[in-house]
Amino acid sequence: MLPILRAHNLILDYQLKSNSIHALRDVTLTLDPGEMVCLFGASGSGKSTLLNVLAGLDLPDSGSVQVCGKAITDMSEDERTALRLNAIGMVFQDNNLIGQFTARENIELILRCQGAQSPKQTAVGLLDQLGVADLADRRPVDMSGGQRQRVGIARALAGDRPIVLCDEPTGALDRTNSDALFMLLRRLTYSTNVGVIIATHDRVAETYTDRVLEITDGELVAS
Amino acid sequence: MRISPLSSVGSLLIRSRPFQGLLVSVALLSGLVTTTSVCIAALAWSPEQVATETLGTAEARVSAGEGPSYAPGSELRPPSWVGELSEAVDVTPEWRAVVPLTTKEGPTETLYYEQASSSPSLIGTVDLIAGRWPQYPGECVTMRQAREVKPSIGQWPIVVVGEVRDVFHPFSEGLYCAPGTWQRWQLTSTESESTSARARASFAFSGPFSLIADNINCLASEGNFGPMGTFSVDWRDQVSSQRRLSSQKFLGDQAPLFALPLCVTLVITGRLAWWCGLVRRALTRVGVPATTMRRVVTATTVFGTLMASVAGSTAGALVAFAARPLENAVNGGAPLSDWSFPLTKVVTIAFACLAGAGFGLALGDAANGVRLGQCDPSPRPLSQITQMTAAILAIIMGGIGVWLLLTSHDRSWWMIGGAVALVLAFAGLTPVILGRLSPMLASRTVSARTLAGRILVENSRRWSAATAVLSVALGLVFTLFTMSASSIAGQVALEASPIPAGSARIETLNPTGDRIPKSTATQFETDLELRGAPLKLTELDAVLGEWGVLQSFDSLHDAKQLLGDLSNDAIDTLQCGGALVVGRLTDGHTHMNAWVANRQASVDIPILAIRTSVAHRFATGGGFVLAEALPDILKNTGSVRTWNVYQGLSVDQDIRARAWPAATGLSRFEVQAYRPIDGFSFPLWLAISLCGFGLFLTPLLALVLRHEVKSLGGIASSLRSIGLGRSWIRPVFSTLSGAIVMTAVFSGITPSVITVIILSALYPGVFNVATTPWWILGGFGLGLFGSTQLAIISANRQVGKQKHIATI
Ligand SMILES: Nc1ncnc2c1ncn2[C@@H]1O[C@H](COP(=O)(O)OP(=O)(O)O)[C@@H](O)[C@H]1O
Ligand SMILES: [Mg+2]
Repeated sequence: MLPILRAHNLILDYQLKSNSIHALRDVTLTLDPGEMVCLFGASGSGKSTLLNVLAGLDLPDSGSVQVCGKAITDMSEDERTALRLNAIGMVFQDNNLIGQFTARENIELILRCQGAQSPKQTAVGLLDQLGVADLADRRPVDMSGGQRQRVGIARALAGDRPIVLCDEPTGALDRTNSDALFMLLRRLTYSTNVGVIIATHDRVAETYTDRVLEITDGELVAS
Repeated sequence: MRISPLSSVGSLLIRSRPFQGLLVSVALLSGLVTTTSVCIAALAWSPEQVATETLGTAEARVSAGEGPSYAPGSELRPPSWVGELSEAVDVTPEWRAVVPLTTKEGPTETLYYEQASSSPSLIGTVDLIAGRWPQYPGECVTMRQAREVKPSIGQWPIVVVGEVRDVFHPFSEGLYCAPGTWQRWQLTSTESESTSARARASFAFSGPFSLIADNINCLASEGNFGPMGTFSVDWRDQVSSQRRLSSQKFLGDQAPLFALPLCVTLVITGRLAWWCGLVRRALTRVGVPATTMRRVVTATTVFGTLMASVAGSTAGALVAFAARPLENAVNGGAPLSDWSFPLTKVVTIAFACLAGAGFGLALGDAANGVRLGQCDPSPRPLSQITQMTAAILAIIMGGIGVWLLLTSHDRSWWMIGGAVALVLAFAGLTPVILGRLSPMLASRTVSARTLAGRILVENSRRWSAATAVLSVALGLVFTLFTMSASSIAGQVALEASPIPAGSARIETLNPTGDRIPKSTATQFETDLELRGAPLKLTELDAVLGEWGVLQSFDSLHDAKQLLGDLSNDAIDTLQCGGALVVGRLTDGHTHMNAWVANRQASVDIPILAIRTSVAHRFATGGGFVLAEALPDILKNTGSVRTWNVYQGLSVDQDIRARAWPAATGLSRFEVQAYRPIDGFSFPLWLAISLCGFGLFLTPLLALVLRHEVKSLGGIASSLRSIGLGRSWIRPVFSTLSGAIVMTAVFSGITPSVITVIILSALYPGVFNVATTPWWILGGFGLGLFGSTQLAIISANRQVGKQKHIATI
């Protein structure tokens, strides 16, 4: 089975005025379909940077990223954006919901842009799966942090995309809810062959995942 | 020592470059505009001056166009009624002719006046600058002429005893002679055949007005001045009140007086407000309250602008006063209108500057505020109450505007007030329009347009404020433009030449029944070097419906020559004895009554409307017919007057045709020549100033919108991170800006249209809605829309280029 995501020798430096921060140093990783990988690291270790590069939001200084066999590091900005829409669902640390749209509309947006059938019902179904169906017509301002996070996850799962990248998805959730979330993602990988990477500093995640990667100062270290 | 934030902010502002720049430019501009407009105003004579120019000190003058004329050498005998008037009324006969004279510079045609030196017409209009007034027959004074004058034909012993100057027309030439001089001109019979010089009388009346009016009415009804319609009476009060029309010209003439200071101040204060916004942001961080800052900036700017503009225009007025001797000299010594301090101008300019400053502050603030709005995430929707209040205020304002327009009674200030009120009314409607429009966009299924709608709804308070300010700016400029353009267009239409360029016509039979001597007609042709036989046009003693006199051609060939190629229908109509009417028949008639003999009898003839670029100028009458095809009743009716029409004249021939009547003294037969409209042709300068406004407004708007797009960068990058790229985001921005710009353009154009329609209905001759170039406004609106869309696209590019910021 071919990996759906492959990163090779990724290097990324943030150039500041006085010095430069080595955010990624020679990172290489792969993700298989149906695999759930946990990316551990302290705050500031480079988890978000790595996920952004994997999703094509940022370009590395060197190295390559292949999504479903296509090198996204050679693509244009617009091509990478289109690829995200169809192949990568992302859960953001700050959830990144569009404030002008309701929970349902935020999910519908992805489905409509993908050209999915009956987007409305699908969106409601996804919200239901995450236990927030009653929030369908609420806007992000009128939700708690945890509720927002779950809507964000529902959006990442929308549209049957082969890769889901989660950046600290349980940051705003309590214990019970984070356990439920990990379980949900686990079930997803079993049933639909979706590959999931969860960046977190929550050690509990280890128990749900197939594989654990540790990142410190931009470097993957064996765990 | 404690420094209050208020005074320190004030002094910071006053010492700043942008503020000083504002003061200097407002002062300079106000000065310049005042000087120019005062100098121009000085050239227009006051009513008294105009009355003096035409009448001297006389109360009225009767000029009989068709009265008896006197050949050279004949005795100029005043009519018998002159001696029979009551004692209190004084009548002075004044004789006038165009005579061929030879001076050192060669032979010329000169105006000849014969009247007593005590004649009231001379007082105040002609100045003796050397020698003395003529007293005895044969004595004359000349204007700007050699002291040696001889007649070009015959014997005429003229003694020049002095020199005079026409006070109002320093460059005109002429000869004023003592009574009895005309009689001393001796010509042989062949010589007198060869000249068309004829002396004609006009009569200056002085005395109590009511007595004069009675006398003139009585004399006229007894036929002493010739048939009705052939003589004219200039009344003193009428002559001076004719100037009133010029107050309506105000809009055309004085519009720049508003527009220039308003626009320039708007731009400069807009920039100042923008700059202050930046300073304010810095100062609020260190604890100076924003309201204090805003208050100080507003007060200082308004006060500074007012002072600078008043000082500037006062200085400008003084400069114009000091320049009067120079202006008088440049004007050839003709009098300038009396000096008075141009208080209304100073006030007008001050108002314009203040308005500009107000809008500039609001615009700059709005631009800044919308941007600042991003720092403050709480949405600010427009409440229903506010919308309702705005709508009610708008309706009241609109009512006031319409009322002011309807009751303007020629007062320009009323008209401007009404127009401004209408502009404000529509600006007040913008929140309502946006308030209706944006929910419509926002309530659809999720899409780019929906997002734009939601963004609009969410911050509708700020968006509609910005739109209202924009629509006021656009509305003022559009209204100014349409009012000026329609008033100028109206004037141009009134002054249009009766016949088109390259043609001339001479009356060969006039309404009094005189037929032009063959010699005069040929002289006209030889003088103008006209080749080819003229075309004959006959005005019949017949009236077509309510349209007017019928004009007939001798042949179909002539008809084609004047009207251009005729359609088969048109030829059929002519050959069936029908009439061609130029223009459009509104009620779809195919037949119409042609009345003859003072509407005693009539005949029904077919009519057909034709469109031709040329003939409408000749179509002072009702329709064109073909003489040979006419029904008998029309054939026998006889002709009122006939014309020889010449076509294909060169520019030079046009000029000579224009000058011919004056040069030959021919006044019995009318000569019509092409008269170009002098002065700058109408809306060109207006179009240019509108384009200028567009040129400065578009980048300003684009700049604001670019900031807008950038400030929405957060949403843009959120969308991008979930996979919706630039092509998805672009319609969001263009819907957003499109809604705003279109709303503003709509609420800017509408009041200007309403204003001009009302004014055209009230003052048909002065404003003309039909000739207003609406396409320029439409083009302007579209251009504005297009350029903002371009700005959005380029800004969207920029947003795309921003490097993604990783969240820590
Ligand atoms: N846009 C940026 N500019 C400069 N430095 C950045 C930027 N984003 C992140 N960094 C730095 O890169 C390092 C990794 O950051 P990040 O990937 O956000 O860490 P994590 O998500 O693991 O907390 C940190 O030291 C952070 O300070
Ligand atoms: Mg992070």
